Amino acid sequence: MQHTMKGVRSILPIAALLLGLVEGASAQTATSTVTYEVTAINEISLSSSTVSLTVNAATAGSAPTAATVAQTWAVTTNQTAAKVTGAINTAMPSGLTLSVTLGNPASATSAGKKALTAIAVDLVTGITKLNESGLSLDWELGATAAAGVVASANKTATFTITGGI
Amino acid sequence: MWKLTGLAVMAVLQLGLSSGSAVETLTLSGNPLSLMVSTALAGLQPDAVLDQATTYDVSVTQTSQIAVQLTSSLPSGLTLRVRMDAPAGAVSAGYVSLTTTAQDLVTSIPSGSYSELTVSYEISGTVSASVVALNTVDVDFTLTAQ
Repeated sequence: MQHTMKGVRSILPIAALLLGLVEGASAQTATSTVTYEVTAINEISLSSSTVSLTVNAATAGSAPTAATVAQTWAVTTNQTAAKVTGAINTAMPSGLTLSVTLGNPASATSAGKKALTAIAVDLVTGITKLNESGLSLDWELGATAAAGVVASANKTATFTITGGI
Repeated sequence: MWKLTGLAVMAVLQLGLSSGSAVETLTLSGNPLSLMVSTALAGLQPDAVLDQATTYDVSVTQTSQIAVQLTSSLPSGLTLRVRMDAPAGAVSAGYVSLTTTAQDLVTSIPSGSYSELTVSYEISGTVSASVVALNTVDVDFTLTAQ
């Protein structure tokens, strides 16, 4: 009996060791390396690419009544202190003034109504990390009586967003 | 008695050697192409970037699942999502936004071998993420019995 008990005791540790060695598969992990970056992004757009302004009325005794058109603009920037400037390709005829007022996005500053010339002028400044649409953009064509009759003509207005930091 | 004991030992040894261990493998075809967030429509958040150029192979002998996690966090404002096409009979969780916590990506993978299944990576960033210099992050895919 004693010999049998010793044999049984020696079998058990071996069995336990083997069970441990053959127990289930472990987890397996595969790894991928993802390379990424974000570049500076500055985009603006206008609700319409064409605007028509006609000065054709006045109150007697006053300068001709300015013509106005309202549209909207949109902006996305992921930088700090971006700005929008505006310019037209060539100067307006004498006596005519083309002006624009851009509404400001949150925390930015609108310069108010600005006359457009061939030299770019700041329209909105301090635009920081935002995306907004439906912002107001008001056009105005003013004319003095001295401008006379001006035949229909086109100007190209360019709005530029310049990234900040 | 000693003879009987010897036979018992042999039986235990034979059982141990013939059980075999399950062979489960998960292999990726490679890393995705560089993901660069660089465009946006005015008024909207930056465009997300998608890569579906890589695949995976998986071989299992029991019902299994694949979990996924990042090894480190992404910069604030960036989100990396991953999707694995499911083998036949398995279930894909679709696109999963990755964190440093493991999340199920494919479950109920039946026993079998499956190859060239698509892995999709998508990165997106909000405007608040700002400019982010070229960088890398590791993604761990872990295969376990389910």
